[in-house]
Amino acid sequence: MTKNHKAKEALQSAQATLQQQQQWLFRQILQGRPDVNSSQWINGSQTFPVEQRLSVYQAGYRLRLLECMQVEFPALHVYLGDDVFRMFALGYLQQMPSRHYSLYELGVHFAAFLRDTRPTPEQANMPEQMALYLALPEQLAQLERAQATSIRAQGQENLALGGLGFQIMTWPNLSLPETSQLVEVDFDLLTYLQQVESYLAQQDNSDDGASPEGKRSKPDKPALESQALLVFREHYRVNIVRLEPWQASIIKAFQTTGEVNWVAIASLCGIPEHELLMRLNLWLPEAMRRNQVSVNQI
Amino acid sequence: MANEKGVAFDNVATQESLGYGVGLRSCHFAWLERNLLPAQTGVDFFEAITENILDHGGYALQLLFKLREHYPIVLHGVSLSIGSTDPLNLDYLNKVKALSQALQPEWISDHLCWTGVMGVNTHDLLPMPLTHESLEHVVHKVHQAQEILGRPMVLENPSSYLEFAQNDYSEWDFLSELVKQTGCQLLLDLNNIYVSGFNLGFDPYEYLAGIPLQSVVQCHLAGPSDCGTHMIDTHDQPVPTPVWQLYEAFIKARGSHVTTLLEWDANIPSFPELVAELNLAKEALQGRIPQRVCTQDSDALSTSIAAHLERSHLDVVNREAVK
Repeated sequence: MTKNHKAKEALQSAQATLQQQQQWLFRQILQGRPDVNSSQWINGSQTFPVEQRLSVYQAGYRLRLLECMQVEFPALHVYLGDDVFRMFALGYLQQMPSRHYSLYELGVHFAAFLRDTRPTPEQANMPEQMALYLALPEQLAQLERAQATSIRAQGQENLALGGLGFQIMTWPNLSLPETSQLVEVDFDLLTYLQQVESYLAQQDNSDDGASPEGKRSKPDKPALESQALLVFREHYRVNIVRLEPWQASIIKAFQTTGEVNWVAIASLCGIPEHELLMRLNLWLPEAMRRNQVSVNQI
Repeated sequence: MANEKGVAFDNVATQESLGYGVGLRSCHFAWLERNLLPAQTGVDFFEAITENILDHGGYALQLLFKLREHYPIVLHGVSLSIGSTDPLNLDYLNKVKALSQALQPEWISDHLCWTGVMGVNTHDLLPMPLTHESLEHVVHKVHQAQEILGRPMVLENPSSYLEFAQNDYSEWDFLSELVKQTGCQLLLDLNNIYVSGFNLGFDPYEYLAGIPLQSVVQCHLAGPSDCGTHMIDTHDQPVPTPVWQLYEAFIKARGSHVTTLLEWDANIPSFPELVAELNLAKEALQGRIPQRVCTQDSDALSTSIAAHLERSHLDVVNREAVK
């Protein structure tokens, strides 16, 4: 930087508007490294120089949001480990900084970010079986995001939900509560989430000074297995249930289009229509009672 | 109460103390569900983080309304960004208004700060340049927010690690002018005064002397971390002696009790332990100042916010596949 340029910057910082001052500090925080002219904008001291003052905000910004991402994606954090999770989460925050007033929106695009940055098997240059696991992080993120969404969604706990008190004779008019979401994955993530839950609980206990004996090791990576998982909320508790293919087809239809072509579903699943109706009679009362699906009218 | 514009509000925060309270945190939900009543909790009121409740249709909201039946509630925001040169987020403010109409909080507070510009939210409480231009800007924003909310804003002094070279005001003079020109009220965080005083080199007692104490409707207490060359506002440990001393001096100078809240946002203790720490405030006002030093931590992170997020826990018994 030339002497003239430095002098110009010094003059600019001395006469900076509120907007210029805020934009300068904002850039310092997001770019994460100190500006050589920082002392022209802010005051420092010998014991606490300007660079160190800025680094409190720079490091705080990253670490604070990283901590929030770890809370929202605990299983993904365990699966990837500290370093890789940190790399992806900080890359995500850099590419898509928060634009919302709520921290709950922080992770909304994380699964898509992981999908978009996933290397192809050729790029990753790994055996086919291992390459299949490249999609696991985005699927785990999608499942954990569905859980976070379900916690806060408008539920039906305060509504008087009548069960199906009679047999349905015609195709029902179903809908999905805001608290329910179907997530289709290629791995046994249901077992993995439960293992992570136990692992983290055990870690919390050992942090609290409980005996380290019998401490669990990190769960093994989940097995390859197609699963249709329905995240739902029952009495304010978020839960996950694994669906049969025919149930998943129904929920997928009204999750994506809001309508179900029952005849097409029956044909797709290779079930006669009368049998599909019979299965619905067995499934829906329980699914409604547990607030997994809603039946608007019969 | 009327401001310099002569605008008066019906919903002026009461000068009468609500007593002693704590922040509502998700790690205490299960305990509170079993011990809901004031005789069981030992607190007089709760403070809820506004953003944790906005757009919420789940358990946290339901519990808050349950608590509202037994306690006064105050709302404390972190995303108003009143000092930002970005326009106020009207969608946010209108949602806060709708929430306040349903919840009827005693008051709605936020911070004298900005959280980002150009539409980005850093989720940090960034220090304001304290210039004439800045004062004029914040006065305008406070008027705007108060008009939408239909009540005076209550603004908190933030903890700061830097000050702008161009500043025309001390923070206490800036806040005094703001109160005078807008009729807003203050939430005085004594821990933040201590932290900022240490970091910026001012005398916390000079700060207290410069604040219009009768405009203070609430105070915050918390424990910071000592990083040697500076203090970090971590909210993760007991309140240290200098903050208790400042609290005692503040109440004495004001001449009456003020609604007092203990903030704890990381390494949060059990609810009864939290209340035991809160109760030391009553001791401090009797001149029995707890003797504590801040924990030394060179890697401390300024106020953690992750504890504000709720986590789901899978109910293992319900995991079987639907047949």
